[in-house]
Amino acid sequence: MEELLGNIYCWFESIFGQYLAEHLWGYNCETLMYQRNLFNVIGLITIGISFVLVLAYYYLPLFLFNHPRSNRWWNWLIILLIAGIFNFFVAYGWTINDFLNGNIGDCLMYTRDSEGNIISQLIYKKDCWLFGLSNFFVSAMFFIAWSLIFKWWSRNCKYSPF
Amino acid sequence: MKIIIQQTLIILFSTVLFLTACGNNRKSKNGITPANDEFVDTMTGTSVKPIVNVYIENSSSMDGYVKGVTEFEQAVYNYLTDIKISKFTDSLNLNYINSDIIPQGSDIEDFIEKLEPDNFRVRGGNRGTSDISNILKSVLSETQENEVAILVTDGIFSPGKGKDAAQYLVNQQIGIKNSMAEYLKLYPNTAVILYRLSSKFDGYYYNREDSRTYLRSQRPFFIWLIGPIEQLSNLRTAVSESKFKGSGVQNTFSITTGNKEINYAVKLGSGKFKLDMKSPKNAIKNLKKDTKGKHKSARFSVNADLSGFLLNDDYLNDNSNYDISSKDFIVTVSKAVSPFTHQLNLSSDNVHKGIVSIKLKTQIPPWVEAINDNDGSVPLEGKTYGIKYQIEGIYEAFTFSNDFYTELKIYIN
Amino acid sequence: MLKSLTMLLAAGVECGVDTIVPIIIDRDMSNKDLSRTILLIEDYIDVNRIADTKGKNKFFKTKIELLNNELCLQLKDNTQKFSDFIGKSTMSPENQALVEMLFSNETLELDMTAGFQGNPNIGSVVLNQFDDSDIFKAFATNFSKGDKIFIISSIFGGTGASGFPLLRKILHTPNVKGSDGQDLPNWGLVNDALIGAISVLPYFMVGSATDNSLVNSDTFIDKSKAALSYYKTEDKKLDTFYYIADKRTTTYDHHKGGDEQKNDAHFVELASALAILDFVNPDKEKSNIHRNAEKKINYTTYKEFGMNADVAEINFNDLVDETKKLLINPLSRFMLFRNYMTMVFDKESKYQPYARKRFNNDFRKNETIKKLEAVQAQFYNWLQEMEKQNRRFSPFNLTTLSAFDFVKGDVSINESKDFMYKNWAKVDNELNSQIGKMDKALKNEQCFIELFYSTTEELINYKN
Repeated sequence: MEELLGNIYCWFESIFGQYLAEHLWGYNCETLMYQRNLFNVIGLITIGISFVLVLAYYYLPLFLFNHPRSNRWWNWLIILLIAGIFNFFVAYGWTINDFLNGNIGDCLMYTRDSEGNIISQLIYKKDCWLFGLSNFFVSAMFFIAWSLIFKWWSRNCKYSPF
Repeated sequence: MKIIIQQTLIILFSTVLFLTACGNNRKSKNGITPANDEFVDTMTGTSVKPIVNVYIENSSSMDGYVKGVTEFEQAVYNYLTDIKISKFTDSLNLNYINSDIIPQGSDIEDFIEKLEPDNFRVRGGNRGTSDISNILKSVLSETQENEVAILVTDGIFSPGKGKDAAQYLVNQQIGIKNSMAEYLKLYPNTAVILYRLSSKFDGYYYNREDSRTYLRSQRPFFIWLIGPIEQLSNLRTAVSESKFKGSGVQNTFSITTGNKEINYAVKLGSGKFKLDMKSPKNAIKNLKKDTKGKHKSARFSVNADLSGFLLNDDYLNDNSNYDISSKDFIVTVSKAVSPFTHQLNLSSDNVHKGIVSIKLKTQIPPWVEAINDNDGSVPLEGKTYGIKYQIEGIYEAFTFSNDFYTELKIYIN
Repeated sequence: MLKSLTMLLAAGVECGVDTIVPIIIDRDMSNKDLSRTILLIEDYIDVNRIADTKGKNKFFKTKIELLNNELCLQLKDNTQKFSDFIGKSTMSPENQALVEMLFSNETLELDMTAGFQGNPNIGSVVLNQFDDSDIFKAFATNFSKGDKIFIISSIFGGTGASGFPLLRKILHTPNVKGSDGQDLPNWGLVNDALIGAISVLPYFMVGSATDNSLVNSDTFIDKSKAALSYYKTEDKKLDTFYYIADKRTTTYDHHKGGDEQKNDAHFVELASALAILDFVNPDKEKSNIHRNAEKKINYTTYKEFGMNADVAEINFNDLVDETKKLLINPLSRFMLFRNYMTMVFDKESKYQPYARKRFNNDFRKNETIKKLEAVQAQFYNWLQEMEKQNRRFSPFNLTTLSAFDFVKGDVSINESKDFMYKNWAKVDNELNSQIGKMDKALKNEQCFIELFYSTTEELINYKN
């Protein structure tokens, strides 16, 4: 159960890289153990945001949400995109912050030879962007799932997007 | 509409900033390395200096090493001096040994000056025989807790005239094994290091029948170090083999008790697998074969700290000293990054599931066989009569319960 | 006028009875107005079948029934010329001379298929053969205790003016026999039934004759006066007698009959229809009906229609409160319903949950729904026509695209509860809300009409 969210993110591991994935799993280069599972943290935020926006879209009486003129499929899609972009930045922001502040363990950042010289770099800034992108997809998945579950009681948007 | 978008944007960015501020700020910690001038017991963390007792065999066969100024004297003098300088010990006791132990005080210079055949004769004891088993037994009985014994000997057995030499060697071996085993019961953390050195020899060589021949050539001699593992490790650090004067250390044999727990961990990224989250140091899952490269094999590496066994790289880098439970796997050894010393690289053509056990075997190095003189009738260049049996005796004592220094178990799911 | 009544009933105006049986007596069968009215009523009857939802729905709620499935009391004889009808050619020379004295030559030569063209004297002769018709028999057969009778006639016309007193007389004649010589059934009930009438006085003129028509609107007033003096004899023969007229007139194109006689709807017709509703209103019984213990009429109540002001353009504010309250909600709701169907439904039904899987593309092809929309179209035309008159009834802005701003005058028809939803979105929102409250057992068409009634009732609620 604890690994459920991480396993979902790992469908996209080939996009953002194995080493950033290990960092997010919480691998600590000193203790060589897994500690804080960041997939759970970021995943819960993503689930939460998409959940809130799904509820808002279907139930909040405000233009753009639960309104007879915003029950077209593309209105739903816009909200999905908003959630996705927000979650993109959550994921990107978190990882780039760790990257820039040296919070990512050395054994995950670089391969070193026996003298301690860097042979190659394992995690780059672009991986943080790509993780953001992966989170966008994860967000979309959850958005669709929440929509399927919760849309049925919506007055105006019940059949949006289908 | 516009206001809503603005508000939404504000919320979005402030939340991102808030979240990004919640990252962990873990800085990497540096390891602690002991300072050179203070010897810390790495096991207990205490800094108690050991007592060092030096025993030089003064039987007749040793006379050839001490006539005049020889490499033997240089090596021993230099070694003891280095020990003193390094402040490894505050208490260095010098002795002659044959059938008895004859104390010679603590003045190294005086001691070395007096290393002459005449003095050997004078100092007493029964110089006629070299009962190595007894010598060792005496040394062990004098070596208490936190004491280091340094025994310098030519290592040549002398069964005597009319004796069954082969039987004698075996008996000596058993005797040595017995003494060592008893000592290990009292002090299980004991290690033994044996240096083989070489020196000019000018004197009589006594063969297995005790008949002597005059010899003037390079002959090997041995320095045994016996004591607690940590102290021997410290001693080696303080005065390494490279510091030996003269011809230097030709070969080294070391042994400690086995089946020790060490720090090891599977190396992340050393192959196509995932670390088990609950037990990432020694369990992996989803091991797959490489998809790139000519030779597609399933690989993983284990970093291990093999520094606690007093073994040198020659031994540790030799694949044949490792025993893998699954014959599918082959192992190679390379250097690792701190806090580990060595990286064991395993690879297999098949994907294996289950437990893979890697044992660092306790073995006698091949050079022992090479420099052993099994015959003992004439002096063979570079060889020592029966040295193998001494080493095997020690070996058998140490490997009585187990024959491996440590075992690494990796679980593959 | 029947058209106006039908429109009011379609809109769901309160009616004190649950069934109305209209019978049109006219010789001019091809009168275009009549044809339109017949079609309207047939459409209404079809829609009425889905109107009984056991819910809130009031649109088309009152039943309209046709006796023998016929609206018109067909006068048997198809003889066309008046002289043939009275059989002048078979008369004795003395009788022929009498006839020639009583009736002008034009009158005798009159082709009566187009009605009596403003000659009540002919009509009275011809229409005496009422009791022979099948409809009359059906009328008698289906008559029950408690049924009421209301006669509508125009005083200045031909058919209407002449037929009214005759009809009333027959209804009060005991033991009338049918064409087979038998007593008409239930005739005692007919005799004793509550009876009201409206006589519509002149409210329009006709232009100059384009063909050999004898209709002349200059004579309307004179003819009215003549008829009114005769109607004095109706006193105490009717429970309630309604009069309506309008001095402010519009001039219609002159067509004596046939499919060219197509007069635009007029507010007077609407007001006349209100007379019917007034008569059948159980709350009004005390003021309308005055019978003694023997069920004989003590005296007749006379009523005229009044408004707040004599204005050329009437909207709801110009009507007295009672009329306003009666009309404003039903007409506005029906108007909203019609507007939604014409302006919004096509586009929004694809997206709105209320329509999903129920009111899809094929829904509008359903016969009943087509008729409902036909009635709505006619409703709109009816309002348009009334707007063109000199005395315009123009309560609504008929060209607006707005959902709620169509009621003219300072009339507030709804409270804005949900400021989030505006204009048509507000209607869609309400539709989506109401659909969840619909009885699942209702058929699609019934659900449709109930839904729209509930929605318009929620959105349009004039109080005060």
